[in-house]
Amino acid sequence: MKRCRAPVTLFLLAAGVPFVLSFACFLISQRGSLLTEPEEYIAALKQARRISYRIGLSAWKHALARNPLCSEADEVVIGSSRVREIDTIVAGTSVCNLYVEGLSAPGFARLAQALAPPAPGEHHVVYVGLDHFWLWSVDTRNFAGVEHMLLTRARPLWRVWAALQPLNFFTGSDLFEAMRRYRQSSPRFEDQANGWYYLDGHVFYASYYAKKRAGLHHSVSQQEIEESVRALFHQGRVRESHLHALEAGVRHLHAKGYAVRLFWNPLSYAHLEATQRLFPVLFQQTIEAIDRLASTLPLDHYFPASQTLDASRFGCTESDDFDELHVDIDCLRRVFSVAFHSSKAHT
Amino acid sequence: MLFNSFLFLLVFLPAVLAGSCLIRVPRYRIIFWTLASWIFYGFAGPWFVLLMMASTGLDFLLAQRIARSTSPGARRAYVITSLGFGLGLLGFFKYCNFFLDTVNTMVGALHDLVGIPTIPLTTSLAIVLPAGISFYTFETIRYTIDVYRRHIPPEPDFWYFACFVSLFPHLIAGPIIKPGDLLPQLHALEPRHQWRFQHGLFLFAGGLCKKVLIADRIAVSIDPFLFNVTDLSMPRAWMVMVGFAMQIYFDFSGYTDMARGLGYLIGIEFPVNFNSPYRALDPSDFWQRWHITLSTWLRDYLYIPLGGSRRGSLRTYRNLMVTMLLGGLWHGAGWNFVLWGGLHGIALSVYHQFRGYWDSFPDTVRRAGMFLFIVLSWVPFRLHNLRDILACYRAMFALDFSVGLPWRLLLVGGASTAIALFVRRNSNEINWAMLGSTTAITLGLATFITLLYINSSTRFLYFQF
Repeated sequence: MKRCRAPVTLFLLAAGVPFVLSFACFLISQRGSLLTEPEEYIAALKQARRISYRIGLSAWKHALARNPLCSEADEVVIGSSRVREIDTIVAGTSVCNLYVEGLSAPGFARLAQALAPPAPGEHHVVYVGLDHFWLWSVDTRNFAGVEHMLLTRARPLWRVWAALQPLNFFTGSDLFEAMRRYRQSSPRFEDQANGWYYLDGHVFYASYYAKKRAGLHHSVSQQEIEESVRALFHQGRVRESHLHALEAGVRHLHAKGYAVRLFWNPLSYAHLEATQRLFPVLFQQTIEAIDRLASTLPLDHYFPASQTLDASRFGCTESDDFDELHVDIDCLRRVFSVAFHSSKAHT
Repeated sequence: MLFNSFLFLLVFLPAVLAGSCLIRVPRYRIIFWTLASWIFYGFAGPWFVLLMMASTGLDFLLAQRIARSTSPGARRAYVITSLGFGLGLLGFFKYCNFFLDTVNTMVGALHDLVGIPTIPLTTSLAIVLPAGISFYTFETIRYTIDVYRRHIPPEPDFWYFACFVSLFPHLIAGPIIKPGDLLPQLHALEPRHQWRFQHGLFLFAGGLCKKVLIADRIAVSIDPFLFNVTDLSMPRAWMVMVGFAMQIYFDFSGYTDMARGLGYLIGIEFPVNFNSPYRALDPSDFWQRWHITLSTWLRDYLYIPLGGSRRGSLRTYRNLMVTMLLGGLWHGAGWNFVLWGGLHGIALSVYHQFRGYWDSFPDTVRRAGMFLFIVLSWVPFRLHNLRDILACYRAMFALDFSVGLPWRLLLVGGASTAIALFVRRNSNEINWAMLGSTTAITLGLATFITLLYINSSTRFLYFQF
């Protein structure tokens, strides 16, 4: 092996030192969301009420599921980002929101397993928001990955892992954005485009609603909707393993003493129409598979797709579309008050 | 796993280099490299590794049989089996859907034309193209043919052969290695790991900068225009296609530099694959400068066996066309690639006919004319359907100056064109081991900027082939 000469050392210093410094700056500026342990984050939320950054969703929601905050809430909501904004006002009672972006049936089963049981004698409800992709999307990276293993078994190693994780996505643009945010360390409530995160687990997008109240609404194009539908349904198929996971999750919750209510997350009319048009067979197959399964599960209530999937049935219009995938809180509020609260009155 | 990823740069590569230095028995180092390469390949898809192992194992055994057998018939049967398996794999994974779609289109056209009631005979299958299959299949085919022709002896040790096929620097997108080049180098390994560290490191870094700082920047500028070529004005159409010419060159030659740099780091010399192709003076010169290892393969195993230029002009043109059409098809299963190959086949044939006339022009004229042709020929390579291809050609010659120039593209494309056309020494001609401190610091700073944008880097264009 030839001895390394000075140019190699100079090259490595010129490339490595500025990169390490840049990365360190990024880590320091983003340490809140990158290096905070879930329990610390929940403690910080208790103190501040709301925070403008968040840690990894699955880690946060796992910790929240085990926290008394969740088992003491009257209602627990589990689902994908489509239920992310459900809070006390929407539900009409105390809520613990365990939404995780892209959640599917296996992730739900893990959250159900992690959720602490309610106090004996108390009647608590779990609302489970279903999406079609629950039966094929693979979210195990969120729930069975290295992060969870390290979080439960080796916290110091988790810190190292968490510090190295940004190498998967860190770019110069992130660095500049982090520096920009660092300089504006206290954004005004309504300027916060990325959302405020609350102790009960929900998120609120203040700037979206500020704009909406001011009559400004970004309408979603048909193309954007079709692309989002294709991204969700492309190569989708009903997987038996996911049906088993859904069943296991519901049975876990039932065994812990929760009343489980399954419902289909409401979709905007345009999204629903595009899905039915582009993937008619898969759309119907998924609904039928869950209908069949629901009839065998120990559920408190099952709201079939015909009841809650079409948000327009509840008077939601295009102006209530948060984006091509989500309806906003105004629409969710209507769905909850019409579909769920009236059914609560019946039961 | 991509060369332009931190997983490769910070984990895989250091681990391989450390293992190479620590393992003192050459054969064990070969086994280590093979296993590391399989892990590297496994990131693209675990079952891809099984497929490659099957292909490697079969060709290893068949080559032994070919060499041992004294009967010409048996030898021919073994080599046909090997070729059949290799081409069969390639045919199934790469061309099956293309074939089925073509049959369906023809059946549909027949129905429209004649009115005969027809049923779609086939449907497209969900086949995933294994990464690098076009490259390693050509290498194993070359190996068995060379053994059959008795140009090389069969490799007696499976691990050495497996290492030849799968060694990670060249596995995904070449260069396409000759067994006669690589296997002797593997056998000549010394107990103490011999590397050309500075040469390899700097060549690798240079390739990484080419990919991330030039090719990816150009891609960001031209891709939005290529979504809708019908709206392009003439200046934009030309700039976009010149931009693509630069993108594909800096992307692929960047990859090759990285592969060759990695080779030097593990003590292996891989062949040159690019030699300033846009400075070519004629079509023949271009193919001696662009993707050299592929054009050499096509020449040795297709053009010359077809008869080359030995049997008169007409046979030569036919051989050139067949070679280039199949060369186009090798790049991708689509008629646009066949068209691209056809354009080059015609250019080679025309040049063959009028060589004396063309060669009488000054170099600058020939270089400019050739560059113009290359840019025009990239149109069917980049745009995949006939409507877009025709729209792009129309835009390039429509004399429509209505829309302004995209300045970012002008800047990046202009700078990269200047580098490709006018910089005298290319990455093969630079003695990276002799670079001074100032150049090392400059390259280091460029690498720093590259590392900042490595996560927004796209896949190498040639990975799709």
